[in-house]
Amino acid sequence: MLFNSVAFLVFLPIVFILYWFVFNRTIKRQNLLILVASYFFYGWWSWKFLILLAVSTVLDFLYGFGVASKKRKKSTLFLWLSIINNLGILVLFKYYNFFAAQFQRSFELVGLHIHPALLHIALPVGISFYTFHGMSYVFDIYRGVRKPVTSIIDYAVFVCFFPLLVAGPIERANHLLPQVQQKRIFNYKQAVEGGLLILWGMFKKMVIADGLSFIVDEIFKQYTDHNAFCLILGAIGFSFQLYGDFSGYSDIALGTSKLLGFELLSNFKFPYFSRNIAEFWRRWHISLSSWFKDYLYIPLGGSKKGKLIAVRNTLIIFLASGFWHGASWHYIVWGGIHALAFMPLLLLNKNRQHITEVVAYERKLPNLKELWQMISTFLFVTFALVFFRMNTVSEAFGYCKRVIVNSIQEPRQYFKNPGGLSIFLYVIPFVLIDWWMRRNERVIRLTNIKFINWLIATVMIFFIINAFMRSLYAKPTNFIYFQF
Amino acid sequence: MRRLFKKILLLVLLGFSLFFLMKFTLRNYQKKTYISALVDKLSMVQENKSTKKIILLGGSNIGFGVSAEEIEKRLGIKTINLGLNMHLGLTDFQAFLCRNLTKDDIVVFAPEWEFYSKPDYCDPRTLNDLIVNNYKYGELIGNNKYVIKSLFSNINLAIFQTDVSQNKTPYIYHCFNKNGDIISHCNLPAPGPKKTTVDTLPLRLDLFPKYFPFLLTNKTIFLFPPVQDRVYNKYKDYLNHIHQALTDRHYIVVDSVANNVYPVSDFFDTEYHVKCDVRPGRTEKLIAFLQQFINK
Repeated sequence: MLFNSVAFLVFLPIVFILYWFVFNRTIKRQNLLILVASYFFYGWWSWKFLILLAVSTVLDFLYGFGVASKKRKKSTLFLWLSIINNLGILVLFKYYNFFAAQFQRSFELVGLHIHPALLHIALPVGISFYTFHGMSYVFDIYRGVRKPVTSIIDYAVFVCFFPLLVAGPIERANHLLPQVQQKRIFNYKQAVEGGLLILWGMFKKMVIADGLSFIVDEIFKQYTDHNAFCLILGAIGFSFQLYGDFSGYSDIALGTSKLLGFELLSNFKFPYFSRNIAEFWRRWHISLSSWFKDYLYIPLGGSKKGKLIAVRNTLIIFLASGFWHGASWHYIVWGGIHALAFMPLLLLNKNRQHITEVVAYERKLPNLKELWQMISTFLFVTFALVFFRMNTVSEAFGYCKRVIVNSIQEPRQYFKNPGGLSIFLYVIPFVLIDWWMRRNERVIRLTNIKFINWLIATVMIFFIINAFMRSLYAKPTNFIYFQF
Repeated sequence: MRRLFKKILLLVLLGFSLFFLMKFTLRNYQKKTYISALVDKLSMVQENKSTKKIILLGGSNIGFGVSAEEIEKRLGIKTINLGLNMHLGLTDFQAFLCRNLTKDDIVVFAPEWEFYSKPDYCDPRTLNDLIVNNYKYGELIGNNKYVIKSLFSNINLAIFQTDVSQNKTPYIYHCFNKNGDIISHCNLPAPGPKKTTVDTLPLRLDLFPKYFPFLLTNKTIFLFPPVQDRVYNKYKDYLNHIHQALTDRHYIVVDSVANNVYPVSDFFDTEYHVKCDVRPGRTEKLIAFLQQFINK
């Protein structure tokens, strides 16, 4: 079920009413309802893959007891079983065909022609998210940070809580499980915050991201037909489309959870206001980057074993992060480009700058230096996203090459009216609203005038209704991160 | 919790009210596309309701292939070319057409091959696009369901969808002249025709009077669409069978299918779209036939 579908608009109020009015007496009832609702939510897309989700959940739940064993050997054995189980599912569904193709190409290099069998199966939605949930649970038990839960329902709710089931945020057992094990009591303030987050998330997805996608898709699909200026605008448009799409999803997830009395981890903290690439990664898809940091970077030695090891580990997590997005070289190259930009900061010990506060925290506007830092970081991120967006590395190079060659061939194009300027109809309001809210990503900042708040909310809901009306006659668009 | 429900309800009500207010105000300012041209073409028919006229009816084959402007100039009779897109079907607006024809009006009927086996053919998605994005279509043909459907569709203003395409396409709203002939492709390079097939399904001419009631009320002349030579060679028997079936039913046909065969290089893009310079020849042939027909 998609958040931007009519089905979800019916589903959420029903769950909300049942949750607070019918199943509200005990934690068990609340969790049981969430579990049933989550399976229904997932099964709406594919009931067949529900079995995979259920099996994966049960296995990790059982491994948890083994990993908790006081005998280190037994504990390690179960840890590896869990890793093999989760990564096995991922490899089978997501990476098998990629590896088979690489295997075939390697043999062809030495003149041997082999034809490995390819799997023709759909990628289960959310597989990269719920397998990482499961792994975080057993890793935390292994590290002694938490004990295994005894109720499979509680554990299953942690793995497949519907707001985050298909596209995150990737939750940590230590953060979400304690909330699952505690009875939720309705909190008006939290519910209003949740409602506003849902409204803003829907607006970002259905109005900004989907609106941009019409323009961006046309530019990227036939990039050889467009001039350099149009391609640059297309790349900028895609940066905001992706951000609107994914952060919109995360806001709806956060908001829905708040309505049910949960607080999820933040996934985005205004990443396009970052002053360097290190800050960007502390603000973009936070739940994934912190997952890799905690469960890969630090176990590999982090930055405490010298610069060389730190460089190696950084490279590994960036490439792994790229590969996590999809079984394709262009994602790996995207991760690699970010790693290359991160390295100078790491070597010069500048990667820990701007750790806490967002730019111009106590001012209305940034200074010129900050503005330059933000723009240059954004342009770099946009350049890297061309590799993320294109289907192959060579196409991405082709896109960049066309920008350079066409700029040299037709320098006057920048003064003419190019196609694609309409992206600014979406981008400018988006940046302004983000700037207004930049101090807290978890709570929508309102103005002091009630009437203006209502007016803005009404206008936003008008645009959302307009987008929903389109989906009455056409399929709602998928969230980009559903494919991962 | 009651407070929360009240606020949500109020917000949703305000949003819907604003939406329907805007939708109603902007109902005739939706982004216009190629298929929106049908509304304007039908309006031309309505404007000339009581004048004697010739209606060119068919899909895009007649829109691209015959000049109503030239016919009007030569015969001195108001001529309107309704040809636009076969996927819109030819039956949806028949009641409207009948209301706006006088008994002296002549219909030049040029259905694409598909209609001979499926007279009620239409692509629901294309027709739906026409209905939801063109409030005036439902209003014009007097279909209240379409009017409501259009009011419940999204507001699709041109300002939010700037065209980034560098390739010029003939499939734009302003594709036709004052008589409804499609002229937007005339100065564009031809992308070249696609290979096409003809579904050789059993003919259903028995259903024609039901779906095309003007056959019973008005003088109607059948004109075959232009055919690529390679298509004709492959489906010769079937296409000639159509001609035979029409004459068997005593329908008036301009000429044989063989006389409508053109080399592939005469086509602009799809199977039915001839280039602009092919149109005068086809029009000339039709004018000569119409002159004889009227004099009779």
